[in-house]
Amino acid sequence: MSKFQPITCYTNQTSQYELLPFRFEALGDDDVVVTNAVGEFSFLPRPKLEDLVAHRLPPSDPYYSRLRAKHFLRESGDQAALELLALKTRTKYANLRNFTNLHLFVVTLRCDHSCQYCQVSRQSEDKAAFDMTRETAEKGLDIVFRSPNQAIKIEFQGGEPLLNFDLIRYIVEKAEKRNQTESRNLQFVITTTLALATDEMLEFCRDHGIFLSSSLDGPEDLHNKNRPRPGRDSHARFVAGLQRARDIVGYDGVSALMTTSPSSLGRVKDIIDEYVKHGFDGIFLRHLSPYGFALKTKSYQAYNVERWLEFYKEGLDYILELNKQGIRFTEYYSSLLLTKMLTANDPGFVDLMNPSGAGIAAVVFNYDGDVYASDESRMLHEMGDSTFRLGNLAKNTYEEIFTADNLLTALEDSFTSSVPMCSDCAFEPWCGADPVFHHAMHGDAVGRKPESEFCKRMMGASKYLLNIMRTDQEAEEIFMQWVNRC
Amino acid sequence: MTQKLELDAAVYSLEAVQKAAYRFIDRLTVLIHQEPGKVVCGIDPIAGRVIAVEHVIDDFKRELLDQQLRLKIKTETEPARNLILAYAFSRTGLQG
Amino acid sequence: MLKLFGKAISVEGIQAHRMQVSLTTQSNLPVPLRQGKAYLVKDGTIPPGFDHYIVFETRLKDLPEGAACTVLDAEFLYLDDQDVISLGQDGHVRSLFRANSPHNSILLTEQCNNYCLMCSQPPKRVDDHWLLNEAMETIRRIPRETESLGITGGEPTLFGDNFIALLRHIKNWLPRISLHVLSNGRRFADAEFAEKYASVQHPDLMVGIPVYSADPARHDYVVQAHGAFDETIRGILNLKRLGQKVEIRVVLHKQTVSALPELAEFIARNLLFVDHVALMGLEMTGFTRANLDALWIDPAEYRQELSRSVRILRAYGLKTSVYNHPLCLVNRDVEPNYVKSISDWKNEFAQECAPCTRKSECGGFFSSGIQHGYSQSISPFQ
Repeated sequence: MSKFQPITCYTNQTSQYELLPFRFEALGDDDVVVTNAVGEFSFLPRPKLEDLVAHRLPPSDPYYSRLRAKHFLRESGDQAALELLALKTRTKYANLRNFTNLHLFVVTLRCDHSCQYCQVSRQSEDKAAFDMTRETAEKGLDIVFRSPNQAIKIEFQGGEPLLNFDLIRYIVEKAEKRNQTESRNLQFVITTTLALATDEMLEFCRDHGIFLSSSLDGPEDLHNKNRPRPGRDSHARFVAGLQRARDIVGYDGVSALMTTSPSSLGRVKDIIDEYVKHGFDGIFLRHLSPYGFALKTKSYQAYNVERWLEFYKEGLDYILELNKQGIRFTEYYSSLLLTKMLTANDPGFVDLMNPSGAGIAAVVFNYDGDVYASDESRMLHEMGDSTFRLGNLAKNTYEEIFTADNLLTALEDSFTSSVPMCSDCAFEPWCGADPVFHHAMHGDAVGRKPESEFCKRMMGASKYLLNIMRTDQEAEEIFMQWVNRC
Repeated sequence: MTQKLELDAAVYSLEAVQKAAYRFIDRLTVLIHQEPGKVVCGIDPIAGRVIAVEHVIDDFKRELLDQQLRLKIKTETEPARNLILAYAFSRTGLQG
Repeated sequence: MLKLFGKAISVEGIQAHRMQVSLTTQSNLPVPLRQGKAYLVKDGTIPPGFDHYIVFETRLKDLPEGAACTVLDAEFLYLDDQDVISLGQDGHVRSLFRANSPHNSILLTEQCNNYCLMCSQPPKRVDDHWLLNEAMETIRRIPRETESLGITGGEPTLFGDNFIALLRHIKNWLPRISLHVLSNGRRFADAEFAEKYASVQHPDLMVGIPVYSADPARHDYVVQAHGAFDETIRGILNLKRLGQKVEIRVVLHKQTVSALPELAEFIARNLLFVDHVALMGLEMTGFTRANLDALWIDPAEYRQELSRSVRILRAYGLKTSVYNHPLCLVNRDVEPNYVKSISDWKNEFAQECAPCTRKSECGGFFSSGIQHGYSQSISPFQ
């Protein structure tokens, strides 16, 4: 019988290897995390990192085989490693081709709520002053259908968009009519508190496949405190509206988003319980954005990123506990980061996209015809800063809007691969540029990263997630389910 | 009071020192200049931000080593990176 | 265990070195269809007009004039209508196709460029083109309505263009058959060969390719071939680039189980586009018995690794099956992916299984396992 060779015959005889591109970041004093451009990561004790880079990590070391399997090093014959890295790189950037698929129509600035952290809304009966006109909407639709993207999403924003439901109806019907010849994959979303949703509106949503994105800030007292309206009945109206929307539009036709106000900070479990109670299968533990009234009224300064991280970590721990008890419930901010950590796919979330999603993934048509690179850009404009205003529907052509200098400059400046500190940050593959945020906070699109709240938040959350995955296999498997849930 | 840190230019490249200084921009003001065979840092804590100066400067020294390591990795892996990108955007088919 | 090959008690009327015959039990078969078929005498009736008669244990006296007769022992009594066997002048009998089995496969070659520690079909360095030619002939004899067929080796792709020709032949003769090829995938690293394979455009063809570890060195060790991992992975990539169906097969043993979760993660991150992942128990046959110390591990000892790997693959939406394991040796969370899988001709139960209440859901054991050793941890469901 022929001889079988021992495993040592198949390990590297020369001990020579080549490093593949990677970055590292310290985790505490003794360990580092190494990451590569397609999001793969591995933990290493610091001396192993030094051995690795000095080319003295022996092939018999368990870290050696792990690093080779994860494509941090290669031996001379390892052609497949390069092919796999290339393949994943291409997958990751595939959605760059999906130029502008989200189009936001701000159909009115008027609102029945007067939330303290709200960025733009007006309490006004003056339709002429704050509603979008049909003429403006038509011009917006012209731009929408100029998008080269096969999938087109139209989102109605406000104010409270239901206050101008006639225009929503008009835009939806016009878009559907145009789509008879365009044959795009057309989707509609209305962002609404549901407080003013009538059965008739919901039936229209049902008949035209319009998805409802609603707001729930937590238990009744918290929600009503955050979202004052005449009658102090925002929560009750939400609950009733949710029930009717599920009855009429369908259970999966309505979701909820929450805003973290200073009053939310101590109550993350209550908030999550409220989401579970109402049958939602996830929550986005969002930080308050620094724009608009939130910044003006100092709500934003009411808590810093460290405080938000505490809130987030407490919430995430609780959500993992729920999952371990068999309740399938996702935390969406984590899920966005984890998708980049655990898969080759990019979730295509505007705030975490690189190059920045602004003006590529999203474009906003304001009630007055102004066009912005993202919802945050228009809020910045409301504060008197028009940097990210790309033009006006009445005055500018498609070409003028999408080649606006301020858009291109911001995109270019924010491309993280060329930004100081980002270019060698190990978390960059999971991160994304946020030029509008950094402009608002620091006056330029890049931001000074060591001082950036965005950066601290993202690094804080990532390190927390890494630590969980390192120490808790069950939690890691739950994360794998989150990132693959479609 | 400004602390002076003299680094052997054979060990620390100017680029690594600059990058480390950038990372500490929120805690330290670092003025860098070159002398023959040396890179010299003049370090001041940012008023009101730094409590344990010695501790931060130790961290900064460690960061210098890390940055040097990062540069080494970057230089060594540059050809592989280019090769991967060339592969990624030249071939067709099969993507997620 | 069925006896698939052996020696006839007597053969006669075999003109060539060896020949294939299609069997029938239909005594009222229209006369034009009787030519070229062998009648399987099971109930004593002897209809006239067949070239060849197969009988059991003793030669019948009153066979038609000039008809040839082969006498088999009773172990071949499982042979049935529409089966195909090969008869040699030297008396060698081999069952090539059994019409009522869902597990038919054709052994295309015994040559291989891997030399796996646990190979159940130890490779031989001989020119066995005759097996390929025999397969071409068998394909013509297989009933057209057959649902599935496997091609195994050795390494079938070593025949190169002739292997491609066989696939075309199968597509021409059996266009509706679901075809499954077992290959180590290395040949497909050659993009040109992969393209030829794809150009057959078989409507229902899957290739099962083993990957034993995320660590190239360990995979190469298991298959005893330098650089095999790299070729196999590039082969899979080429096949998927060309839209071909690929299954990843992992045989579980001492050398593969401890890093199985890492392999599951590797597949999830790098090969998410494969069509199926099969995690398979070890068969106690071939080389396995020579390398038992290096390979044998009681499945009860790797339950946790198996569970975690299945959970990872499942989380990523990979279609995953666990084959060749007794049901009582996998954790409950594996059951959704558990498949009762062992080919009918080599499937048995152990003595301890007698009182088990879930035998009908269980894949049981390879006959080789019953013979040569199996887990001492089995515990019948009561």
